[in-house]
Amino acid sequence: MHERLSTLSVTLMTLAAFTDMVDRHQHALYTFLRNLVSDAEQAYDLMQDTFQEAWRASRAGADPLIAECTDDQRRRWLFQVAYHRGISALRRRKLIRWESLDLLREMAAKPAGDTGSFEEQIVESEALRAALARLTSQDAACLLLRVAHGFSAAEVGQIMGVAPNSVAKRLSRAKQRLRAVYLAHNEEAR
Amino acid sequence: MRHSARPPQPTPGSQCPSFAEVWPVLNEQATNADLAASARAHLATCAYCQQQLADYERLDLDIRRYLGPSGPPRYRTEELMKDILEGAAEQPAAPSVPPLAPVAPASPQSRGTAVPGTRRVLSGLGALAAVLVIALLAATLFARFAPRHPTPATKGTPIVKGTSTPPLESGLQGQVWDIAMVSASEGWAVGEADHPLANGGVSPQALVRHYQHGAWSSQVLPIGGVLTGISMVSASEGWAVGRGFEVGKPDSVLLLHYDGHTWKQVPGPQRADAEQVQMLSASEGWAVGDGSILHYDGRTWRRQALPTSLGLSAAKTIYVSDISMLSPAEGWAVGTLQVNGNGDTSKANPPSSGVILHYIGGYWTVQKIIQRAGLAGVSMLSAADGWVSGSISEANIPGYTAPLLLHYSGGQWAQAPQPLNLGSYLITGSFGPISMVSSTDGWVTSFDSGLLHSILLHYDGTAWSKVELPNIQNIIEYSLNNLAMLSANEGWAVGVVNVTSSLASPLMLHYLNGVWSVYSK
Repeated sequence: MHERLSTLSVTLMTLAAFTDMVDRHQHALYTFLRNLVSDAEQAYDLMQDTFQEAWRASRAGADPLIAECTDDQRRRWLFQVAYHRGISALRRRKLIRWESLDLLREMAAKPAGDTGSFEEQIVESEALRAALARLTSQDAACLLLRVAHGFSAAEVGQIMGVAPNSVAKRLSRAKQRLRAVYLAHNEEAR
Repeated sequence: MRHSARPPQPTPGSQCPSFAEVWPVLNEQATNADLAASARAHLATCAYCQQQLADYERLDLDIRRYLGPSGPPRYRTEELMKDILEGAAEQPAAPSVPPLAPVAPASPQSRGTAVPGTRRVLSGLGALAAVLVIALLAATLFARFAPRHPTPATKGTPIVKGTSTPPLESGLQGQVWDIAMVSASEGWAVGEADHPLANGGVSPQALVRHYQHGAWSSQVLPIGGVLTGISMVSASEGWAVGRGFEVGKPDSVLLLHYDGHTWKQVPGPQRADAEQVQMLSASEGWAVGDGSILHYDGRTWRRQALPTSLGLSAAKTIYVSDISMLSPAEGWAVGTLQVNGNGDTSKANPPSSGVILHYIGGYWTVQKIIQRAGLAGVSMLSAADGWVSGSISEANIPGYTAPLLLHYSGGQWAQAPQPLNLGSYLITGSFGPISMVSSTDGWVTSFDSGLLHSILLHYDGTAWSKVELPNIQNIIEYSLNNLAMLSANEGWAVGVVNVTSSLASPLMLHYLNGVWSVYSK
């Protein structure tokens, strides 16, 4: 393998460089997948699948899993693979994405503690996840990539395979829906 | 976003609705600059819109705070690396291709955008093998990403009646999930209606639509939830199923009976789910859903035993998506097996498999399992002829699914040839509900992820070909959730059209004598 690759015009990532990449992006990738598929174990499996594909791509000297490429390019590639794996998993899991409002209702039923308390932060984050689950998978992914992970609209378009204009429309729709549900939770909680 | 108590809400002015879609994306580059400037000018004097914008800004903060990658990593990198390397070693090395068109290099000194691998300089037999692989990959990629070509019109191909106006039905927001026609002049459809809450939120409420005298009327039932399946035995007898959302209670199965006058909810089994239903008579029916097959014996809906050979458990579940009964004694159901386990078990097995179940002799048995697949629809014409629709993961292109059609003939399920000329639709493609009229006539739905709208494919007895649907302008996207064909010459498809980012309206397409058109009041 090394003899064949020695004639290539690209430089393979070393194991140390690959490990460094995993270390740098695993938490963000897991967080993205966890919020997309709403299942911690499946999110871990999808993250692992994504990195395994990255490892195979890096051994084959595929762009951008090579030494010459930047970390930003590799980050986009990882999220691109993770996004498609996540969407694919959701489609397999259910063609109709049922999500319950129960969590929101449970959260709303709990008395609100002091602003900023640890317990309230947990309640808030779970309520936001439950509200997120009311969006379509693509809208949720768009929102997560743009707002939670800070990709530009153009990058989100590249990751999701849609035009930047479509990203803005999805983003507007996603935020309006999220706001409506999330605000409803907060109003009920008062 | 639980901050201090909200002061009395300012009321919106006449101009405010026109800026509602701008506030969530005011600072996005893609937002029209003139519109953004107008919005900012309006903002200076409008307390209501200031409140809207402040809400979105707080929402962004909460998203970053609660859904972003803050805090310490959950997993240790060295353990993760061990899993990655072990897992990669277990699987055969697949040709590496990016999942989509390559992301443009960030800097000019980065290399060009050729298909990865083509820049390599190889020699000897390895080079020859590599060239063959690359040629195959290039051909595959070219076929996948080739520009869309219109399907040439052929004899018998249904023609399309275009429309330039969005099919808005005033006063009704929501979508339609299923339809059952009793005759050409009468039918029912079910779905969900957006029920606005006083505090600005929305919740779904059961929607029933009735077709009579050439028009659809709507009734929003006082039941929180979504109706996803309907089956009518006659104009005065039928069932609708779905999932109920009730405040303070877990989600529950919705089973609604129509007695010729009203739709009445009847209790269902605990922890059951029903998303599709098929009635054979007033006293015999079946419903399927997430983890459930239910049978109606004229008095009660009861859960049916699923094949033990599936090995179902908390870690291995089945989603039964569709059913096609030929008689009380024989029928078929399709679904997807999902492995939710962890550890070696999940690594050794594909994450999901398509399952075809056969009901005969009073039992459900496993007829076929298709690795890496998910099955969405089944339509049986007879005990010897039928079709199944769904999707299958691409072994060589991780993350992608290809549309899948299986034909049952001669006692065997065989994969049908992939329809041609599908263009961008082939990217992460899948087939949805399927409806066969005869062995030489049928329809199946799908979704064009590039153009953001559903497509329909028609079967003429020899091949499936794409049929362009009405060109609905001035909308964001539309999708079809199900269809019901009365004959080769008439049928309906139902779904939802997103007219604006916040306005979703039921969509009803009518097929008559070779023409698809949009129903509008």
